[in-house]
Amino acid sequence: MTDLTPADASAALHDIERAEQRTYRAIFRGITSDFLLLWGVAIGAAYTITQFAPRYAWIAWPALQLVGWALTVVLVLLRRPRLSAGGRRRTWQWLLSALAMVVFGHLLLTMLDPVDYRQEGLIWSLIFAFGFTLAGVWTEPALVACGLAVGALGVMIPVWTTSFYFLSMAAAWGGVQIACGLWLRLTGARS
Amino acid sequence: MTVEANPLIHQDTRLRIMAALNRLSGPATLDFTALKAILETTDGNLGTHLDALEKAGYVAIEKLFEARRPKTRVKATPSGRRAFAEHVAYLRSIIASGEPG
Repeated sequence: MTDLTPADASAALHDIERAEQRTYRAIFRGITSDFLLLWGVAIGAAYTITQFAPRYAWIAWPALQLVGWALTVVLVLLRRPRLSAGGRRRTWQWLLSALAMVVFGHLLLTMLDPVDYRQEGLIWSLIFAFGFTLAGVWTEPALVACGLAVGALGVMIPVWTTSFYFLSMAAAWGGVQIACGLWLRLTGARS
Repeated sequence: MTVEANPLIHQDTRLRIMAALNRLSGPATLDFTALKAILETTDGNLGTHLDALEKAGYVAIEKLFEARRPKTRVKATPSGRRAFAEHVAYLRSIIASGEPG
């Protein structure tokens, strides 16, 4: 092997750093995609049931949330071994942040005491839109787009829709999350 | 730790393969297709360099079928991680000394 100059060594370290970043991004997008698809389907299903079988809505929401959280923990346990120590620690921080967001949402609803389900849906979609956008600013720009779409549709749908409000929310909130999850899965390591 | 060049790892694609696999925790693997996307290379190029790294004992390649589709999974072996760390230390030592290595 011919002698390496400091410039060659620096270029090699730059290549290493870029490969590490692209690997982290590919894994992060894969894991994020799993969660977006899971919760997109859960939220979409809950709103669809509320639209077409409103008498089961009272049980559908808590049941789907319970299944969602159980699968979330399973996914974290399955996926986190792929990450290095720092990444594994952050996975639990993400999960706790999401849980804190849900607790904050419930506290806000208790304080604001919305008069109907449309106001309640609006508050939840704005809380999640804020969460996605904030997470996206720190990590993945696709989440910013997802957050802005959920927020914008969450504001517009209660105003525009009348008889198909719940189905519209299923498409807007669940659908946007599923679309964002699929996009992250398809793009993988691509920057 | 011995600070010396590793000509096998230093080749551009092999260096990036080892960097990508080293980013994962110990038992974790990367799919061939994911690795190909990360490195922005072709099937043939990646396959050739993986063979060379496997012969040196730096990576372990597992071929299996999932839903009747062939899958190839790759991970860095402990000796591969060690060799990669040594090569990175060598690169850093060249930069620190400011002299060709």
